[in-house]
Amino acid sequence: MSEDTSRSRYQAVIALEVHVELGTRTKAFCGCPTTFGAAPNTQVCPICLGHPGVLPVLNRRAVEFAVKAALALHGQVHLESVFARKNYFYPDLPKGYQITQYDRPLATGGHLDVEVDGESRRVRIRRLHLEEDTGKLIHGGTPGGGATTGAPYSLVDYNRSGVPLVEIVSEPDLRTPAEARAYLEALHSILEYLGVSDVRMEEGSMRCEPNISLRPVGTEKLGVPVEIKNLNSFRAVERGLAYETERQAALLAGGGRVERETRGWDEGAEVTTFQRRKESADDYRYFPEPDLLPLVLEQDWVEAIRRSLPELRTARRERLVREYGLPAYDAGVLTASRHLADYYEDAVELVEASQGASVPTAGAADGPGTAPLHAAAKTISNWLMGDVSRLMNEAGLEPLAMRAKTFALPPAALVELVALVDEGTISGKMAKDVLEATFSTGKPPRAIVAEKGLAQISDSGALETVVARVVDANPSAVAELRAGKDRAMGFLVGQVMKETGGKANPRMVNELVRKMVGS
Amino acid sequence: MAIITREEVEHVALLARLAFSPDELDRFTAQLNDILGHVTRLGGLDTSAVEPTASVLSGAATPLREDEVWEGLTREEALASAPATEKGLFKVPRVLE
Amino acid sequence: MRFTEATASQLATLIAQGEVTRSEVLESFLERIVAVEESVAAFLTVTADHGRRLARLADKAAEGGATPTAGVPFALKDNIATQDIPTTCGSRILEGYRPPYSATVMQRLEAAGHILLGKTNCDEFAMGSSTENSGFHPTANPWDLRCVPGGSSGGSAAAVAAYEVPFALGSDTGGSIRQPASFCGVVGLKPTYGLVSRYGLVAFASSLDQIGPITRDVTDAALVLGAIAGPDPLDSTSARVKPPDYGQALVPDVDGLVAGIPRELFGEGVEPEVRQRVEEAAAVLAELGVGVEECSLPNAAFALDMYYVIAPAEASSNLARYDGTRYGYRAGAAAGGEDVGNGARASIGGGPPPGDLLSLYLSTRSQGFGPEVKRRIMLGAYVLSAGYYDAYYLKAQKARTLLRRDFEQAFGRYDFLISPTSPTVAFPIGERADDPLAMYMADLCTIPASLAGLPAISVPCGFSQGLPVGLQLMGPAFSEELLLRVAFAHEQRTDHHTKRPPLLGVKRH
Ligand SMILES: [Mg+2]
Ligand SMILES: [Zn+2]
Repeated sequence: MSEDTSRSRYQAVIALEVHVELGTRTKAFCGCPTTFGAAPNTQVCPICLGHPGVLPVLNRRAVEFAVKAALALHGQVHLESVFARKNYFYPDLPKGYQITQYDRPLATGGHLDVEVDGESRRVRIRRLHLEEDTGKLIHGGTPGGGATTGAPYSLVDYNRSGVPLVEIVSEPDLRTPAEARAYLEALHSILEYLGVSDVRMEEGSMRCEPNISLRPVGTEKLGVPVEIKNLNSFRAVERGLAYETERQAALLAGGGRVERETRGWDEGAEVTTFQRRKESADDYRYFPEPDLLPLVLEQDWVEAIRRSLPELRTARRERLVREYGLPAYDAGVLTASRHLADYYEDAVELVEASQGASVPTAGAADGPGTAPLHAAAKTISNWLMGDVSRLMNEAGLEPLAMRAKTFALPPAALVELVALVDEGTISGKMAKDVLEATFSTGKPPRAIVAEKGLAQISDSGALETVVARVVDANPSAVAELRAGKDRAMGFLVGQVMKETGGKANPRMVNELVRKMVGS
Repeated sequence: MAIITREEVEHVALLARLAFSPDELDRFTAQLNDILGHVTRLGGLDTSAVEPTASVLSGAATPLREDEVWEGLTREEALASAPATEKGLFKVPRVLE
Repeated sequence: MRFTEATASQLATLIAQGEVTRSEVLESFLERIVAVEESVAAFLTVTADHGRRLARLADKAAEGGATPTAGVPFALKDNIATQDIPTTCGSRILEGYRPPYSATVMQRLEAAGHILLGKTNCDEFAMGSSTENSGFHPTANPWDLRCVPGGSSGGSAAAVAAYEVPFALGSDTGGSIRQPASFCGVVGLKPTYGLVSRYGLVAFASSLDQIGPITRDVTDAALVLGAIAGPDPLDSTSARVKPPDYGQALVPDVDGLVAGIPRELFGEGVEPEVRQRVEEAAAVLAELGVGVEECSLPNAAFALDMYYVIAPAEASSNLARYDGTRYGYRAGAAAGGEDVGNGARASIGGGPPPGDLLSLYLSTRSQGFGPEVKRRIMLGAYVLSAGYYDAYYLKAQKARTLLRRDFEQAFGRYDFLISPTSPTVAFPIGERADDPLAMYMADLCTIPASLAGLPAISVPCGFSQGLPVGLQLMGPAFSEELLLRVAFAHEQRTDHHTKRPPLLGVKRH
């Protein structure tokens, strides 16, 4: 039996456990900063190092962010929740226990709607709770010092120890790797829009540990779940789950048994490998954290947080269509990241301001005053979805980078570029080169144009001389044009462009040729 | 009859990351049984309608701290008490993933 | 004048009036320590240089006209963190450990100008009732050097009783301030849970631990409590209650108060002479106008059982951090690791650390902790483990609620409760060392107030066979003023606290 047939006999049941680092200034239980990328063990104190005698004090903003996330996911926020200790030994866990929430989490229930192949599916969320992150283990070598494989020791950096996390656990409602990825992307978008995390999978501020089991199609009973770790991108999540689906299907089809275990995704080999068996020895001995009292939320505070929830992706997508007349597809792409959408709207607003156009009011989207704005809005969208997006990818940059003060192509620069094309200073083709130059140097488009002498020759006096010379030198083409053969026009314009090194304004050349030839 | 068996004592020892010689295991098994034997008297109390006391400060809520940076330790101070370090990191035997 | 005979409040006055300098006071205590420490062995660290430096600075500042600070020397139980000063909790696993920070109580005492003179011996991680479980050495009872000083704050109680220091702080989880105070004939106060910050107190059982004063009289207990009590933003379980001026409580007026004697704490286990002394104390109070009646705390009979589930459970988690990674002892770090059981082997040290993480954990913890600590970690891990949580831990926490209700009911009728602090006087060193259950009985009378988080004070109430007997007074939450007032009234009518330990100066061996 081929693998393909065996796979089609089984249905995958997937649940996602997602850990997200909250973007607070300080850690969950102490005042150490949370800046990513600081030198090892420079953002630590006796509390997050677990020194004898220290005690935790909960960060208000961490609670606020967690509540925000829970509300945006339609969860029920409990006005009283309880912290617990999860006890286990590991060098990255300084106290020998993690402060987390267990039987009384911050929020339960909720859902997230995800779209796969144009179809919307609702994925239920089981719970969302607050906890602290662990430190970071570096295996077999020092950071930047190259991996000394097989080194007989590991090194620990506690900068991340105590950073606040929310853990979001879905119900096993996902059926395919693509759905799992879509869920994760939707979750990513919401958290990004909320501004509660920088949600970077590569840097580990969003970590996903799916568990997946297979069952024969048409049956209800859940199979043996396998947990997958080490998935550091959306792609890895999808690929890892796809691999695991095939592996388990082949195993089951061959009469084998799936073991309850944790497997790690090997990015290079694109396979999951056995890490450890889930044993009854995993006994975390949870009990209520005696160093903290119950977390009690004022109803008013929760309501204030609810009111402060920002516009999320779906609403923004609809608004972009309404206000700027964008095609739904464009609006969807631009709002995939809050940062990209913010960038986009900043750019359009600059155009709007320069046009002196009034802000289109709701319902007036089709009014006569909005037409130029809509045109500009679409042009900017085209640039962002096309060349800018390509350049970002090539540079390995995420949308967040577009919001940095140091970003080479701020919205004003893109607007300037669009204006240069609009006013005929450069051609669309030249604009692509200017964009690349700006993107790599940070110099404003106008400066690039001036520096490289890229401006089109739109001076009719200068052009007339060249056109006259070309017309004189090509009598046969001129004759053809007069005879109505338009192909000859292309030839003549091409000759002019050649003589001007491509800088002539093609529209003006066209007009001049017609005028001189009298066609 | 033993409340906790020698095997269970061994299992709990591993959970707690403690190691015992065979003699110690015997002694601990006996002593833990003595203590647990005493403690099981609690089973006789009717606690059916009783909430557990996790803290005697019942009704109080955990205080919240503002999200402001405190002064922490320098790396030198953080590593000062460590049995083994390397290049600003704490050093432990290799952790197998 | 022998300054070592003076109480903390007397010394504070003498210093404030310029009768004596802080350095002179400090030196006289240091001399005393040199003279008796060989017999008593109350200290693990004497911070002579630190103390001398601070005393000199404070004296200079006072000469220069600065607002005078108290300048009274004190000692801390060695489970209270002191920055850059060894803090071992009486455990080999923390030998040589110098914390990078100081406990809130240390900061408060220093802010008041008091001067740390040393860190006192205790049962390892405060687990014990005799100070014999110290990883370093036992401490002797100044009243009879062959006897234990009680525990776990035995070093603090012995140091105060032996006039080595005018006052000390201890910590009390199930009786560890009150019981040694009782055994050593001094005053020991366990405050209401939450009144004194636990920040910097190395945790044993977090829901029970409290720091409190050990002093030679009630006036000093009020003075020291006033210096350390009050809300602390670093302790989430610290009560947001502004403490009163405890000095105001020191009036010998108790007329009209009603006291209960819970029969559960006054049963068969109580030695006859101890019973007699407590009855005499009750009679003294009655003479002062206190109505004394027998009462009942039915669930107090189960207090020991609750305690030996809850305290070890929390301890098993609190002591997980001692893993040889960030501080403290690491097996094999010195040459010559040794084999441990369970098939796990410690590596031979020197050069890189042991090759196997599990064996490092096992050998570090097995070599670093003493038997009582291991016993309690085992007990705690067991009662929290899968399948047993409900039957033990949850059950005990529910029973604890019943006990708290008993107290609530009692305090509906009585202003305070009376009992012996300990059913017996100090016992000979070694007598109960191999019998954990017998040792646990020493805390029979003190554990109930601990479980309910209530304040309780032990004051001297006479002697039995030449050894001090302690009277315990328990009150409702935050009734420290009342307890101090009753204790003060009792002290004014008796002279037990003025008796000097007879065997001082006699060397052991
Ligand atoms: Mg978690
Ligand atoms: Zn910290």
